[in-house]
Amino acid sequence: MSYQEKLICGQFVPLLLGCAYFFGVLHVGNRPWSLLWAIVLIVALQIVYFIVVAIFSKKEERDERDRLIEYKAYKVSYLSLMMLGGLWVWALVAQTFTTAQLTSPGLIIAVWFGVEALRTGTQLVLHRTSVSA
Amino acid sequence: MKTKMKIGNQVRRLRFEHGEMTQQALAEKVGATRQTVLAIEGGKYAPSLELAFRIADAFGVGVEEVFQREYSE
Repeated sequence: MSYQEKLICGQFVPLLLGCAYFFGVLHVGNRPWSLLWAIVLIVALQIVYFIVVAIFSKKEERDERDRLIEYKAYKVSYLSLMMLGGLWVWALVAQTFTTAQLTSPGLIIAVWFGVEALRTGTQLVLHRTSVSA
Repeated sequence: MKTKMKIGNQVRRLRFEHGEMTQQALAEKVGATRQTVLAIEGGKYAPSLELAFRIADAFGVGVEEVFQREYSE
């Protein structure tokens, strides 16, 4: 695994662990503090992961291909986030779900996880396959 | 029928002709990562003009000696 791939995983693996902790342990009802705890845990895990990668891996500067892959992956996640945002507004207007359900920490974390999973997956796939501008 | 253009390259051959230069050495010389050199050699990535010229400069040849057009139906 290249240095850039390790960094990509470094953003996602802590999120995966944080989400597992959130849905497995913290998520009891609609407590707002559980979202805050999950965010604190994810950020702390990311810091630890990046320190470990910095110690044990040879640093490589990003080049034009890495930037192109990142741009494409962010585009995919941005479009999916826009689509989910549209669905959220529709659900709010159509009153398909209650406001409490639509603003629950579980939904926020799930959307964050989904979009990040899509971005990470896109980046890892493009790193292993071909990419063109 | 529209013809498709692919960019072929001689990077691997030129590396070996230049004292069996490693991908890492070439990457450092042109300011790219080894993964990018690997992707270029495998035809999985077409570099920017700037990087293409840097690679050609690293081998001391013209850019057309490194990269060629390949047409297919």
